[in-house]
Amino acid sequence: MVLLSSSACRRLGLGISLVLLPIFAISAVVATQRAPPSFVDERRLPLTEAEAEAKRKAEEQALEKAKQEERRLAAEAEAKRKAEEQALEKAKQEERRLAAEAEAKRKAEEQALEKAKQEERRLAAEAAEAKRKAEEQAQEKAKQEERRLATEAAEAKRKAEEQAQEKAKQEERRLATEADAKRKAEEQAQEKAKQEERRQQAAVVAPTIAAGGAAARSVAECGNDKIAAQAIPGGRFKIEIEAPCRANQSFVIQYGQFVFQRQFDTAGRGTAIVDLFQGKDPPLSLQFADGKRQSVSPEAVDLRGLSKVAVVWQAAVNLDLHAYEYSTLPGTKGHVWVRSPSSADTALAETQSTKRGRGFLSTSDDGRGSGDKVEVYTFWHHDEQQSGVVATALDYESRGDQPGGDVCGSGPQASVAFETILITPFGRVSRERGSIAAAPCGVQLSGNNRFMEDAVPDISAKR
Amino acid sequence: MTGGKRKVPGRATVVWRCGKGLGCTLPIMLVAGSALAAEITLQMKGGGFTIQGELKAFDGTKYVIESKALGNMSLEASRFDCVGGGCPSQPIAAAPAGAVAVARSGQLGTTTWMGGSAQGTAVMPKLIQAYASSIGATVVRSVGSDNKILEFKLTDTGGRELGNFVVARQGVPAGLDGLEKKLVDVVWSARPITPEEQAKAQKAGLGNLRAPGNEHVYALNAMTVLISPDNPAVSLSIDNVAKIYSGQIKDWSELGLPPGKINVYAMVQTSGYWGAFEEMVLKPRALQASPDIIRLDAATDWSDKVAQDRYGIGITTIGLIRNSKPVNVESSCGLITRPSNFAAKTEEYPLTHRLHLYSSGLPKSQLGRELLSFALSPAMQPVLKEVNFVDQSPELLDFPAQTARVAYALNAQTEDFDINMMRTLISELKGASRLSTTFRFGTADATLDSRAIADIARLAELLKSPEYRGKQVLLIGFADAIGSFATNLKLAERRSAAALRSLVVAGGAQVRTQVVTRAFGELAPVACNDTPEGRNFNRRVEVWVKN
Repeated sequence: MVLLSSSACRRLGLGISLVLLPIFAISAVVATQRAPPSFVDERRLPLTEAEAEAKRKAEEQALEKAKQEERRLAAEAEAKRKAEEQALEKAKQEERRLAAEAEAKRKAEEQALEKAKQEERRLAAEAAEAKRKAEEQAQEKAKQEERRLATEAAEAKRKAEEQAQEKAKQEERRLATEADAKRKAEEQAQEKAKQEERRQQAAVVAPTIAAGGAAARSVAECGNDKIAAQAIPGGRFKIEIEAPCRANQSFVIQYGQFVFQRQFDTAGRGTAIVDLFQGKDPPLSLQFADGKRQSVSPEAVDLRGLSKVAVVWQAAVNLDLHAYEYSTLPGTKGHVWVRSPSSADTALAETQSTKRGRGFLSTSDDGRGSGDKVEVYTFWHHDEQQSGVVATALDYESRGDQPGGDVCGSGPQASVAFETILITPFGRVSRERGSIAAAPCGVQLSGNNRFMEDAVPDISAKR
Repeated sequence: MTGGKRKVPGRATVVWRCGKGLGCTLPIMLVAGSALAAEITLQMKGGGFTIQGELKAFDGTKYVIESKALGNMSLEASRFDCVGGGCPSQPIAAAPAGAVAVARSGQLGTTTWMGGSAQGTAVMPKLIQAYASSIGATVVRSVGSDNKILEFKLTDTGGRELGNFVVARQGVPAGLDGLEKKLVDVVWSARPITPEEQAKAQKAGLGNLRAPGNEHVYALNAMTVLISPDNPAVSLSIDNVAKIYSGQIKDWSELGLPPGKINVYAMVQTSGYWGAFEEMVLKPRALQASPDIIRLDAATDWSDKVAQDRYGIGITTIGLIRNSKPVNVESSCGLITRPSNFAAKTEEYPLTHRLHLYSSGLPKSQLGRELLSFALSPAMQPVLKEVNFVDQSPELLDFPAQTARVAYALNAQTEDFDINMMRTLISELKGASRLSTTFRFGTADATLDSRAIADIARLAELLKSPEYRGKQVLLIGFADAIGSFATNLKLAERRSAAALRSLVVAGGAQVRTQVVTRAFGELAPVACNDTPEGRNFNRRVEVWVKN
């Protein structure tokens, strides 16, 4: 055993320390790479500079992180507070809005109620005033009626007296007239007797003239005309006459104000088709050369479901009536005129099969005869048809596309008067007078000036 | 509303009315009796009886005289001598009631009117015929000289010429030109004159052509879109019509129809109808007309060319549909309206517009003045009806003809749609007919305006007529779709109640036995609720009539 002095111990310790310190330092360095012995409290180990720096930085970071977290939480709290404030404000606004609406509605209802009450009061006042006025008027009216009745009674009495006087005078005049008439009748009877005497004297000579030839046959013997009349489809009337004593004579059909001339043949037969383009009301009669007149009744003619448009003229020229059914083009199906007149049967059959009206040219005239001339387009309606139009046009055919001679300029037939008549299924007749204006000679007429659409009324297919 | 009465010499009283929407229009001439009737004395031949009074008619064999003491009497001319200055030398026809008196002693003069083809062809000839009939004159129409000009000669029963009416179908601009040059007395137009035209006329010394007395609305028109009867289309939206006419849609297949290049027809640009079409269809959509449009002068061709062309489309006035097929018009919200006089009278058809007559003061000739007065009088209404233009007389339309409204209401259901109420509406109106008279209201308002009050008075008179006695009348209130269903229903109830109250005041207490009120709020609109104009039309009280 070696005993050491204290100073030697201190020097030895120091020396050992000096020896061990570097070893421990190295060990510490090594200890950084390996855990220190378990008997060493790490926390009590002095830190190296680097450790201290690292620790300081870590502490700073931790502090910063904590601060950030604090700020974040504070911001969240602020945001939430604001949101709550806004929600509260929104709720308040909504409350105010609803309250305002309710107030407005309440006011509106109040006003409406007040208005209704005012109106009621006004009506009541008016009713009372109206009643008072009505009573006043009734009293006044009663008084006026009394006065009127009194006046009427006096007037009636005066009138009756006047009428009695007048009646007496009339009776006087009647008696005078009767006496006059009697005297005239006696004079006429005497005259007639004288005429008969003269006639009998003449008749003794007559047989000699009568034997000379048929032309001298006495008109007074032509009394056995046979007239047959029948209705034919399309609103027309066929008249057939057998009158042997009227051979080669002309006869006239008068239909209202229009006069159509026809001719008997050599056997005294005459046929005429009368188109009732003015309906059944105008009188219809036949008139013969000897002045004999025969009325004809068109009652049997059926005009139901028909429209007719007619053009009537007097000039010795040819006018052609054109009908274009449902905007058809000229020269195509549905263009009805004298060269494509269709027929009553065809038009009726097509109307019934297609449920769409069709028509035909029921009367045409070439303008060469005397008397009135007429062209008539007749249209059959279908009950179910609701629309459609038949357009019409008038052609002054005699003057053509390039007028010349009498039918242009200042020629005698340059201007032609005509009349159009339209009759509808309900019997309504409308008329219009027209005039075709003169066209210059030698100038080509444009389409619309040749085929005049404004001259004749169109037909509406709707019944 | 403004208006007034003016006494004229004789027994005529002129009343005019300036209503909302119509301007100062439609003066009504009331003639209490002939202004030229003579006082005569008839003495019985042989003495014993004398009568004095106003000579009403003389046909050569009978005098018709009205005396204060004995009323109207018809006396044989063979038994009476006429003494005094007023005795007739030739037959005089009695003027029908409401006729305008004419100075038979002299000429009526010549008057020239100018405008487009449609009214010139359909309306003006009927105007002169109706006028002639009212004065017992005859008209002779001259044709064949110029297909744009129609001349009508007026003669009396003795064949003496009274006047001439020249109808020049040369377009509105030419008409206004003629007005300036004093060659034309009246211009008819299917559109109002433009501000430029107005300024030009004013500069030319014609005054303000849009002022009352110069501008007159005499009829309405429903502009109709036409297609060929062979085209399967039934409805077209106004937007698509605009696109077709601007060239944006060129083929029928773009509309879901069988393919075919669309041939677009229209009237010439000088026609007032074209101007009206531009205003109603193209300009609101900032579109211009396509240069490929086939322009047609004669109004009959506007329809006839389309009828002949299976790929064609055209536009015309409702009075000249002729053989083409009219299409229904679809509004922006899908509501479909059929073109009809009824829809035009209620102004619920989207393409309704007004027909105007323009003059610079009164025409110079008496014939011109009297024709203008006649055209603006109630006597013109039957004339318009005859040519299928839109007259002002009330018209009835059956419920089955209005099912498009019901279909739209059922298809375009909103959140608030009440099917039970809709069922009630349908069952209430089945078997009833709607009258074209309709009362309109402002927003959230149940007060009748001045035009409605005038219509109330007319309705009250109508209900007194034999045709309406014994029939039940329903006043049905409606509202636009803005706001809650319940609020709108209440508003509708107030509206129908207001109409009934006014009707009772106008027609008397007995109206209450005949008229009942109903309200259906925003159901069954007649126009789109997405535009202010549409909402204007939906705020209304309709009048229905049941047996």
